[in-house]
Amino acid sequence: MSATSANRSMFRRLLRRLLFANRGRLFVILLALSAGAAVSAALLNLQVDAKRRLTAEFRSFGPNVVITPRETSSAASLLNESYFDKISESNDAGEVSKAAFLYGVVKVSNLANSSAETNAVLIGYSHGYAHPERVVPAALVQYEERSSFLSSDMHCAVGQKLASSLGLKGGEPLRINSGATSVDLSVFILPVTGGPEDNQIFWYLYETQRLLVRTKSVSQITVSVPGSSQQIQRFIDKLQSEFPDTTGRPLRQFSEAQAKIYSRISGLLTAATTLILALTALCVMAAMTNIAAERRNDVGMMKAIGGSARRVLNLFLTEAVILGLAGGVIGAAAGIALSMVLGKAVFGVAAAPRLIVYPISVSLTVIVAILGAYPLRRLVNVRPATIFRGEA
Amino acid sequence: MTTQPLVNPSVSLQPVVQAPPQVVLENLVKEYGTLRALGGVSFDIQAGEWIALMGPSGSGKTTLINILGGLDTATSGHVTVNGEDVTRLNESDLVRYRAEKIGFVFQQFHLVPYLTALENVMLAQYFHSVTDESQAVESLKRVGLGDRLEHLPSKLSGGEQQRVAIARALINQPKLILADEPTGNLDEANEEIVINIFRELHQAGHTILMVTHDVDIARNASRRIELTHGHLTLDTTCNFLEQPKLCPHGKPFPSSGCCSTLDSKACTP
Repeated sequence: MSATSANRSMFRRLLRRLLFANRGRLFVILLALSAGAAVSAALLNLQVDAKRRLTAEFRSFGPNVVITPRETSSAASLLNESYFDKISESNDAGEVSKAAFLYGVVKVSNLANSSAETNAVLIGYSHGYAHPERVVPAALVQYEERSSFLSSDMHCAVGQKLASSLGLKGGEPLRINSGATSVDLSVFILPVTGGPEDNQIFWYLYETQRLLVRTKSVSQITVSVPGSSQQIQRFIDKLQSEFPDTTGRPLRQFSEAQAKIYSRISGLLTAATTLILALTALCVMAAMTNIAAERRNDVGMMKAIGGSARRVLNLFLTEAVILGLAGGVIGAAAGIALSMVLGKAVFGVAAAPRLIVYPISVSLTVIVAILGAYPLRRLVNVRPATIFRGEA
Repeated sequence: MTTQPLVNPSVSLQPVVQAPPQVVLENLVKEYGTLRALGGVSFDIQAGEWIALMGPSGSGKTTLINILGGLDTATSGHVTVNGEDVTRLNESDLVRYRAEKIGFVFQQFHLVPYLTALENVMLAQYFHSVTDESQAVESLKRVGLGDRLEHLPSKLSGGEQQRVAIARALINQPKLILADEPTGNLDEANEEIVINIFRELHQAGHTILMVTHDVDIARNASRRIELTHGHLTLDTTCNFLEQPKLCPHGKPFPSSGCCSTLDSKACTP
């Protein structure tokens, strides 16, 4: 055996003895480090997961793909309605829901009180398809259910804010003018949503196309595609290749408003992670202080027989690194599992395990263990003579 | 219990009187605040000598041995070991000095409690240069602990622990063995075993400076030095092995001063 390998072997032997000298205390230190690693890994995973969802993940509820004309496309920013029929109604993950919309600006007035004409946005939408709740605004779903009992196409849905400004009540007639054509429709007042729907008018697609003289044209198609991120992305890619003059825009998990909330939560998570790691370091330091007191004589003796401060410190720091690694490896795995539960509770969506969190969390735990070993680092300043005189 | 001889009995290295001293202490002073532990101690040690360092508690014996071993620093004066002035060494040089030139044996054994007997000996090798397990095993066999290699100190008797400490002190072949009351914590049987080991070491030519309160143990040494309140009060080179327990005037050793090179006048009827 060469000199180097003989000394390495002795180094490992010494480490093993140091680690297992007191199994109870080893367990306590590992528990503290694992717990710290678990909570910090859980919080970090939530943080990274939420960030990833902002930019990478598709909505699992409601539409998650919007198809619009390409900017360079001719035909005045409209899509051919035939695309709507050509979109597949299923993928390898299940049923695909879709809805087509045509937007136009019209002049409207309340026939009941002969109010002045005002501009409003008229939206024609395809109806009668399965699962409208997945692809049309939530307020319209009520109207969809109601309109199935209205055997006439002479009804439209009006947002509450617009209805209020026109003095419209449910069932009253609304006159809609577009160019030289006008139509009188009985209104259904939509519930307040707080969104743009409150100022809009919804009518059936076919009738809207005729009124706006946009036959067989739609402004956009919204699609709800089931499955994983990869399956949804494949669906978008397929659409793009089949309809090159369209753009498939994915809708992500988080809206801009949610992103702002995330930003605040992210700050809190960072602060909580830092606090937990600091507390872990204090716990480890408390245990290490106890160890340091026990090892004073041993260190004094090691220095007396020729142990340099560097070699003794090397032993103790390696011991701390091993403890940090073990605690980190166990704790971080548990923490990532914990984050899935926490993610469900905090964000309503189970956090996906993010691999990058694992090495980061383990590294942080190792750093915490090294910082926690500060009392052992101070031991190397022990002077053997004071130990043997019984002064320390 | 049988112990193997520490050296080849045919090789006997007796001190050469004319040779330059191995250790020279010159006017060594050590002060702890206002307390003067050593007040200008000077003496030489020839290679191969076994010196019994005696004196009452607080006389500065352990302080002297600590300074000589590089564990403590002198306030003034010089300690030269094999031509190297220990008082001028910096911390890293002192580490090397302790590892290479000194073998310590303490009254309290000072073994690492979570290392086996073998590992305690190998620890000294590790800090010195390279570990060699077979050499460490051999060293323990020589002090009669061949069957206790994997025992933790808590599973060894006091005598066995001290023998491990001796094996550890000798493993790097030090120039000077400093023993601070090595039999202070041992029963009579173990004391005999340990002293026999020191006898063999002395015969093998090792230089030993041993602090002891026990006149019977001191009788094994070839020279006796006595400190009182930090001052050298006795330095005798007469043949201790031949010396009776009482001097010709009926006064007990070591206080009689009989054969003393310092105060022979004190030994008057």
